Amino acid sequence: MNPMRLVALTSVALTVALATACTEERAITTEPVGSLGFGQNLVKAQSNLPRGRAIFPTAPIASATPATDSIIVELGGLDSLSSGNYVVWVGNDSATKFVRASGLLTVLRTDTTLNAQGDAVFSTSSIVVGTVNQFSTGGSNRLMRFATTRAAIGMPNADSANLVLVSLETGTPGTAPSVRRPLWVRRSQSAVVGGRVTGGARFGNYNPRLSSEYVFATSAAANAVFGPAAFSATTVIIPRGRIEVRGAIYTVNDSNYYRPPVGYFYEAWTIRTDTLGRFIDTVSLGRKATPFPGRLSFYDADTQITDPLFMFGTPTPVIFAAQHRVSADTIAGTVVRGTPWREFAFTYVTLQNKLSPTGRMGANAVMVVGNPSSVSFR
Amino acid sequence: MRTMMLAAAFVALAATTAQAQVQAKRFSVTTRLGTVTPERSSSLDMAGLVGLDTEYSLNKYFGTGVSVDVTRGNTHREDFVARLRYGNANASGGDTVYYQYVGQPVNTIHIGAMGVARYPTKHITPFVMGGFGTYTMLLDTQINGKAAIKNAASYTVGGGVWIKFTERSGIQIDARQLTMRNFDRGFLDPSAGRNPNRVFPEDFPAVPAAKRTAGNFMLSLGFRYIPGSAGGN
Repeated sequence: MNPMRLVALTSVALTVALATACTEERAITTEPVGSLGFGQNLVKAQSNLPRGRAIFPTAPIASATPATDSIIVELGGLDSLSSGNYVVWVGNDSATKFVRASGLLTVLRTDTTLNAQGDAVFSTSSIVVGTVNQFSTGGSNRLMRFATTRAAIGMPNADSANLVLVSLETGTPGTAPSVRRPLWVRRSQSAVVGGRVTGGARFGNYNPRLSSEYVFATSAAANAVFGPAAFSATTVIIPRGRIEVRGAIYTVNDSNYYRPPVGYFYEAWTIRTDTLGRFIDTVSLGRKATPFPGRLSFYDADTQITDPLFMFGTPTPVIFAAQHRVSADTIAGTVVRGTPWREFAFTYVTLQNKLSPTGRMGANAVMVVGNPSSVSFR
Repeated sequence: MRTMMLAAAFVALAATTAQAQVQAKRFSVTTRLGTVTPERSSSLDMAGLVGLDTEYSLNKYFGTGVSVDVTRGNTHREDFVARLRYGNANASGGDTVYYQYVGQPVNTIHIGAMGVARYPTKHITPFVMGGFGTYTMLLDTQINGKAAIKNAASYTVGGGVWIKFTERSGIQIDARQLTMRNFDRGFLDPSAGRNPNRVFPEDFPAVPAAKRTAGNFMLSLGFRYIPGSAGGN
């Protein structure tokens, strides 16, 4: 073979190779895939969390007439319980002596309706439940008034009434509250209001030592150390996140949540409305869990470190990443006129009481958002 | 030990070869066409291959030379999912997210030095080869918004047969494994990981774990020519 023929043959081979290597498909760099996603950022709500106040007797120890040393506890944001009860305790400052309180329980209920002009009309009613030493009543529109006296609860005259505590009890209460102690009022943190010693209730995990108590909040510095002390002392943990609906899948991706108080957990919900904006269906989006691929439930995050990768800091760890994910394919009533999640107009992240009925949205909203109009059709 | 025994057996066989098919101290040129199948973790699709081998025969059994391989393929688009957001997630109405597979063409040039050991017979000559060199990946400037070139070391092992047509020409069928070192799969992502899909990970194909090396299996058919003198092996 002479050199010219070799060159010609090689050229032909290269041409064929280049033609083979280059196809029109190569100019395509992107390819849309699947359904569109519709998202909206969550907004911190922190509304209707358990709260209240207590009115103490004027003196820590009994007066000359203990029957008039009244102790009044007012509570709101309590969810009704399907198992277990709320129990009110009166104790001393160091929490070494507790007396289970019995008293007169009155439930104040506020209902809201719209009049013909579309204005909100509030109406209140009250029900005197009677003298109880525990109760399971609750609801987002109910306030509890629990009234008693030192004499009524049999508190020794020499013992100081410096603490009012509400515990969650699953069985017959013992001589001291259970480990679920979500609400408390200290005399030392109270002030005289209208001549009466009045203190606001704190919600979280009670501890006899003031520096060790855990107060649940979504706008204060975290009770946790993540790094340098100066950084941790000023680090405010504000929950944030977004919802996104893509086809049949509904997700809530969020982060920066305080650890739930003992006896509570986080759950997300979506609410369907009618054309007048009335709530007609509430669907659970599941309990908060770690992100993919673990998806470990944060249900027991109140007492355990579910996953140290997503929950850390001491002494009160913070949940740093979470996700809810459900499919309309597995939940009845979520495909409306052929479109998954159509007319579902709101998303809530709530703090749920473990003793409340499962599958029922509780009273304590932590995050909320109106869904994108592409989802809600509103 | 097993390798040593195989090598010894090969040398023994070579020593008994009576018919010399390769002339020492001669050059040969092989143009090759074929395919390259990258390792799945590299996120590269199978592509066409054009290659050129130039070999100098040290003796009847051994040679040395230079190999050049040029490929133009595509990235595996499903491994690069990007979210394109329109709208404002903080405003009423929210945002709309388009999910996209993002791929791009990849030009790869591999240049390496190689050594060849063969066992010539009258018509066919099996051979094994190995070498080292460098590879250069060149991406589209417009897609990536910048000049995107990556260069790193590589090594090759392989083998095949030469089939003699004439004294000077023949064909070559070979298979090679080109291993790219310091491979960076992120280099192939035009979005540079800015808009990853962390919301619906399980709704898209799973992406294999990235590795620092990328194996490429090359199959090629070549035309082999020995200029200037008799040969064809």
